[in-house]
Amino acid sequence: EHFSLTPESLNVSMNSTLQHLHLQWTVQNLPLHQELKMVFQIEISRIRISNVIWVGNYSSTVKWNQVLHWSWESELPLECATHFVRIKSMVDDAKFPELSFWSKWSSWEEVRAKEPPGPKSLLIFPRGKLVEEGSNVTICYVAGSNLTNVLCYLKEELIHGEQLDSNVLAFKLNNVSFINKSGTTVSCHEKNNIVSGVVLFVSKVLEEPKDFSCETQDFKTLSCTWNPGVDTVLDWSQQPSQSYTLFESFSGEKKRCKHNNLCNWKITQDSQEMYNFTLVAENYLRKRSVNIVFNLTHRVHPKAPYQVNLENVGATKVRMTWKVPSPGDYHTFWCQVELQDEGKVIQRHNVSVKVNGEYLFSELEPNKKYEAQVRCADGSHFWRWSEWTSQTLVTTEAAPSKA
Amino acid sequence: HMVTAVPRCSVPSVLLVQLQHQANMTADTSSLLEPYVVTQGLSVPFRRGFCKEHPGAFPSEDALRSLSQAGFLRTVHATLGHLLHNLTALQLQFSDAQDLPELPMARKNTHGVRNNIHCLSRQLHISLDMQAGLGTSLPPVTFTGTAPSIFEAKLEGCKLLSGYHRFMGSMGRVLREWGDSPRRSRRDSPQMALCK
Repeated sequence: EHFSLTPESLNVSMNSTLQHLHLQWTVQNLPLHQELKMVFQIEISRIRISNVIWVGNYSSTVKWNQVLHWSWESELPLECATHFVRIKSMVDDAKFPELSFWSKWSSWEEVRAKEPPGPKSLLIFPRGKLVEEGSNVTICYVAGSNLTNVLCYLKEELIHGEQLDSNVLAFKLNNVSFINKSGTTVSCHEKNNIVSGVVLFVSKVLEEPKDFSCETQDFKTLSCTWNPGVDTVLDWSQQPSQSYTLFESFSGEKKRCKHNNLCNWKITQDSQEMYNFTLVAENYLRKRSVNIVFNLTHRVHPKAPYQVNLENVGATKVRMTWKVPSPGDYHTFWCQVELQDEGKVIQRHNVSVKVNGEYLFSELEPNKKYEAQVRCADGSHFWRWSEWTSQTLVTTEAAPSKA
Repeated sequence: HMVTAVPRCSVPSVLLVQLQHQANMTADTSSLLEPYVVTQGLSVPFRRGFCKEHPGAFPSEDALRSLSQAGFLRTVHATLGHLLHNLTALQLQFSDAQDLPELPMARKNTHGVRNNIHCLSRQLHISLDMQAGLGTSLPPVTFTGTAPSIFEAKLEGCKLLSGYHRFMGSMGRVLREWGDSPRRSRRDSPQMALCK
């Protein structure tokens, strides 16, 4: 009899919600204080032992007296059919080539579905399901012995299933699509007195946030904005709208955003100049993240100029003055002034400004109405123009020419 | 559009006409139950009769008809109170009121009916404290909290709305009889001043 390392104490448990079979087992006869590389082959049957539906290998390093764990996800709800599991092992270790032969199979472990339904009972599984658009879902019904004529509908469409057992029918729904936030109802009926159903909640696929960017107007607050894409909220408390969280890696700080498209981040006195933000969008089914790294001084979006005044208005000239809200005296701005005649830009000039700006418009026509406006941007590193601030002016009459 | 009672109550005869109009509108299943059935994918269970109201959840029409005026007004007022609670609980299942706009409208109309019942009882000097009345066994429902599955919760919503429409219709028919011929109910309710 070969020295055999047959897996022992195989225990199989069932997680209905995840549709997982969870295996745990041990390997006896291992030399003390010895680690062995082993490979385990697992067979899973459904309804009957002879009906093997899955075979696979699992490799692991095994120590003396260690309990090994492994899980398998079933596409079919586990309540729909009884499953059987067995396992065998082989040493797969270069140190022990002579041990590389398969052990005997363990005995079959049976994982019984729920107790069979009552004679007049009709059960559908899963009891509820939340999946992403495009997924494949298998639903089944288990009918009591007295039920003979069960019909199932996806919304209003009669659907046909695969007979798994005398009283079990499975329905494969492939590439399911989002219909509405209230889910897709599958109901099964036996004549008009028995009904059972399940609501399949199909979530839109969570999108990666787009146009993610941050800027400051005052060096006190960073305003981050993005385009969230679709809202993956679902009704009946199945899934809230996706959440958004900002992580800043240099400071290690994080913030859960109240809104789905903007988030303000406090700039402290001692905080750094470089920022590395990761924005994480998350719902029950998926996480998406985007990342940006920037220098705070390169993301200045000034507030609109104020105290815009027009002085010494003449027949052909006018002086425009303005102030720029400045986070610091040392700051320089790049301002753009425009003159419009009935909406048409007739003059445009750029001016470098610290706090107080001014510009002399000339070559105007006498006794004419114009619109003068100014906007500013950061002078060191252009990021975005501020909003325009405008004023209306009318030039004076031309002075009478000396006869 | 429904006329909701203003804090200042109309005279009983006007209230009666308003209530009958409100009852006609709210009894119409196309105003809420049918859109609910469609958006919730319950057309087949509905057609197969699985949306019938829970027996006893709402007072039957015969029971309403057998009551004195005071008993009728108290019972309707109490039932509408419970109904509003359940309609609100159903509303909470929708992340956006516009998912089923007929539902907030039904809640608003139910408030209107209840206000008018309150006005009518004041005009008739009837207290709405629940001594003599059927009381109501309309159970408070939380839907996703109690139902074993969302499908069952949706069916509960369906049954609630079936009862809501039927009850409003019954209320309207009994009120119409008040208006049609003054009668003495089997109890000691006085000749109804409303009908002079």
